[in-house]
Amino acid sequence: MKLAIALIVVALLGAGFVAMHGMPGGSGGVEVKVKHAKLEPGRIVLTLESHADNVVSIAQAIVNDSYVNFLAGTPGEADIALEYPWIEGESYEIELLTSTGSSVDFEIEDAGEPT
Amino acid sequence: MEVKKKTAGQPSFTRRGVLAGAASILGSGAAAKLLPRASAAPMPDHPLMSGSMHTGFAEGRTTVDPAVNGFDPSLVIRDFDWGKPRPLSGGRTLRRYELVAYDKEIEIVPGVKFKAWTYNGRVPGPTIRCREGDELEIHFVNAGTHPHTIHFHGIHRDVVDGVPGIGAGLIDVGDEFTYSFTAEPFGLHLYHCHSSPLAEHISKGLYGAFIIDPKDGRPPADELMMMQNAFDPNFNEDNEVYAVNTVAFHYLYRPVRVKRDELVRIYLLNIVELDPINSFHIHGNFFQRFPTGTSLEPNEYTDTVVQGQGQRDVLELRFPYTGQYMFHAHKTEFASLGWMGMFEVVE
Repeated sequence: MKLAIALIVVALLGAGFVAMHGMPGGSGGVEVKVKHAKLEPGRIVLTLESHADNVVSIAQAIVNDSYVNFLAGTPGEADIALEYPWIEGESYEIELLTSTGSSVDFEIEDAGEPT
Repeated sequence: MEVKKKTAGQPSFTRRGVLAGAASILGSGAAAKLLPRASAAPMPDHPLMSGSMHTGFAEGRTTVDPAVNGFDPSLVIRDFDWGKPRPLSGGRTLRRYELVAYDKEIEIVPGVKFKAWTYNGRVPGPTIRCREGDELEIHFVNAGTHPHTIHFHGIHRDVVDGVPGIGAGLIDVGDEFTYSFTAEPFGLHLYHCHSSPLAEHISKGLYGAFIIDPKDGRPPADELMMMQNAFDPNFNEDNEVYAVNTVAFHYLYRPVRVKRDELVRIYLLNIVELDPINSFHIHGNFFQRFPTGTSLEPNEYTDTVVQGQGQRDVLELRFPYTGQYMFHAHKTEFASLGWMGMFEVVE
């Protein structure tokens, strides 16, 4: 199945914010960001990249100001799938809330077409 | 609840219901790895909410364990602090209350912690209750980490108004002060910290409801206090969590149980920062609205009320039918971010 790749603007609020405010157990700050994203029917799959010193927990996911279900990858995989009925051509602001309330933020400016 | 899905050639996922779970990310210097987290004790799904598209909920841990926060929104809603009463001459009553400000981490939506500033370790603070004409003494101790005050809405002298620079002004860390005044006028009021920066002191949790009953009281009713509040845990000047009485979606999964045909009185307040208005809407019913509760005559019969920050209304209604009736902000963004609940009407 061909997967459309969304145009992603990674807002580095995740890394920038946590570096400014501190993160769980980390003294040197945490850098978590979305490496890339892909759109599948009914869900948005994010691949995360972390340079954190410690474990960071993603507790909640918000898409366009609404909490959504998400599927977490099994150990060794770095994907999170957000259950969301995205629409081609529309934009999506996503916040992944960590257990401390900080967030990894990014935006899909123009959702692609699923196949 | 976890449902593992696995398809050849595709990554596998562990299902996480909204409000349920977490993915843990361990930094590796390159790609991230997701680690499983011991899931919290599963909570029973609300029968009407499972798979509901209205809420987006499906399954999983849906509420915060009250033991984590030390307060339970299901109890806060009917918890009224009448103070320690002492009779005065002329049939009047002196009521004394104890409020202590201190910092406390609370859980505002399952899995997400927030470093709150509290009165008595809870958000909202105690619901202070009295009758019109009572003499009030509110003994305040600042055990927090910043100077705080208590500013009461109502009619009183400036020296007990709880604002910096007047009377006792700011109460420094470790200091205490007793606010003394007569309870007037009757109605539904607020109290909150008035230290600067004001928005920060309020948004971190220093507020509560202040109810002055009319001298002759109101008709008997099942009374509920609903403080509309919100939180901005990532400090981006945009709230991520909305609620009534702090915990997002709490009353959706722990419905407010009321009796059919019994008078229900809602003390509704809005303390939300960062958004100019909030609103309350009820399904399957209408209510009488008493703005600020300062009149015993309602001025509107409706199913939706809009409030700016600091605005209050007393609402009265009866449920003619048993069943499940939703209530939520009719600002749908707020509803989808936690300001949503349910009445369960029983015989």
